[in-house]
Amino acid sequence: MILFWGLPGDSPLTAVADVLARRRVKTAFLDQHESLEWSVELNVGDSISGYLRNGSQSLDFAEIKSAYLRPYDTRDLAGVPSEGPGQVHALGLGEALLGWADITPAKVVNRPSAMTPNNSKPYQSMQIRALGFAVPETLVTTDPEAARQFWEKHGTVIYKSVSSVRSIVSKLSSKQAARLENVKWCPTQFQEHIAGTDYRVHVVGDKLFASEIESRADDYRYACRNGGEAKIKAARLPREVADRCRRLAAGVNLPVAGIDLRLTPTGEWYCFEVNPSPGFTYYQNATGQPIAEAIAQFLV
Amino acid sequence: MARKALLIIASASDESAKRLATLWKGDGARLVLPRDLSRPGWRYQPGQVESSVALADGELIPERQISGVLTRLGSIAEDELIEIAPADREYVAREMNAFLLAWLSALSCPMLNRPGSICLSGPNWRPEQWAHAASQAGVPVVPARRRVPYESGPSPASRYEPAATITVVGKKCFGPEDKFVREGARRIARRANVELLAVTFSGSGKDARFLSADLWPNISAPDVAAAVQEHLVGRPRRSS
Repeated sequence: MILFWGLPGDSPLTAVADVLARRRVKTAFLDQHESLEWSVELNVGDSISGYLRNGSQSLDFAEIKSAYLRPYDTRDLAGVPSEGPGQVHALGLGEALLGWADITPAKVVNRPSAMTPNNSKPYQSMQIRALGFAVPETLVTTDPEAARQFWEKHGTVIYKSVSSVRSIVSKLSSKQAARLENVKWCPTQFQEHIAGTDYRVHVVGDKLFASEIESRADDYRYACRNGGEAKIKAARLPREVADRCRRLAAGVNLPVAGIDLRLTPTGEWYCFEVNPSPGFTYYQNATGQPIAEAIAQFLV
Repeated sequence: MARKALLIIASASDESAKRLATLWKGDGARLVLPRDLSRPGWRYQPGQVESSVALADGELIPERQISGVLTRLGSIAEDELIEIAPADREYVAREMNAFLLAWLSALSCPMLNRPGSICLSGPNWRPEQWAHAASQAGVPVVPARRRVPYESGPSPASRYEPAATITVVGKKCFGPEDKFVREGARRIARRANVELLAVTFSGSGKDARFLSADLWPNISAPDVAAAVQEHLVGRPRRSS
């Protein structure tokens, strides 16, 4: 049996679940909105045992052969109380599932411990560099003068969050120069701007799906907001780069990963980030690549 | 030659850390408090850690001056950031944690403990993960049980009285002279890839079973504090 955990409207979860339903594979869906209706017992000693139950289902952890997890922060869910026993229940359920997902012999996409490096972009960039990709020169600082010097050195720099808090990648402009003083309050990340073409590469086990993005926006994910657009088309990577992507995903223990690359006009490949829970349907819808099929196949 | 600095990263309310900073003054001990991350001067370029600069007690400290780091917290809590506007504290705390995690991971000096991928001082596992790690290390365990909704009665583990706590500091162990529990504690620390860990067992000798582990043990006992100091700076010194 394959366990899904997340929200019913989640596009990647739905896409993979649909593939498995067509193949008549037995699945169970733990809807986070219904967290309060589920109970859990997890026992860990020399073996791992326990169950998940609601009014109509009982799932034995031993029967779960694989799992696809895309949970949202429990505290942000509309159906979960902001305090009291209801919140304790929902958080406890989440803790049990996350703990189980890290130690179970079942196949998990992706294990929580492998997803956490994404919470620190400079930490993850060191993993990326160690696994063979070039990364942009980066400065994290609370020193306005150091930020100015870095800007002068590179001419064009971008700034973005240090953590996994979603931020729009933006170029530093002369309008923002006065605001550089504010970096003294909080470590801020600046990065040399790398000109080139964006690629998103989805690695699923040993399968690989590359797409090329054509956009003039600093951050193509938000191109439409600023009146721009992002055109996405399927692409082929040079074999050596494709192999490097596979090695990178395997090296950071992510059987499913969304890797953000940029190819410079001089032919260098830079890697910006490895997304451990990629929203692959955005790319699948644009390219027709069978990414959900590949994930379903991996889980089976 | 510039004076070496031993950094103690701690909460502003950590009295034990303050005492250690005073005790180790001769080794250049300095507290790094969460509010220090809201001061101008920190610099870190991934891949060039040797050019990084830290800030403690209002003083800029280049990486080459850092002899060791003791981290007494798992993450920076937003309620420590009282100088930051309340609406921004959660974001700023996350950014500070992400920065510290990357910078500490890059340092090559002695450190207790090195960060994990989410915690500033080790893996910060859930009880189930510690029990699993202990079992994988070949140490008998009292099974960890989590039940939701939480049960009101006593948990299975509460039937087992804590009998011995071993504090591992590098290759040294402190606590009862019991070779079985000491070896068990060492194995669990190795499995967790940490060098500072308190491990609690029920029973003793061959009947001992793992109960719990703590990444932030009390290190105020003089012999434990001296071992931590020796681990971080190479040799214990008398306080001046």
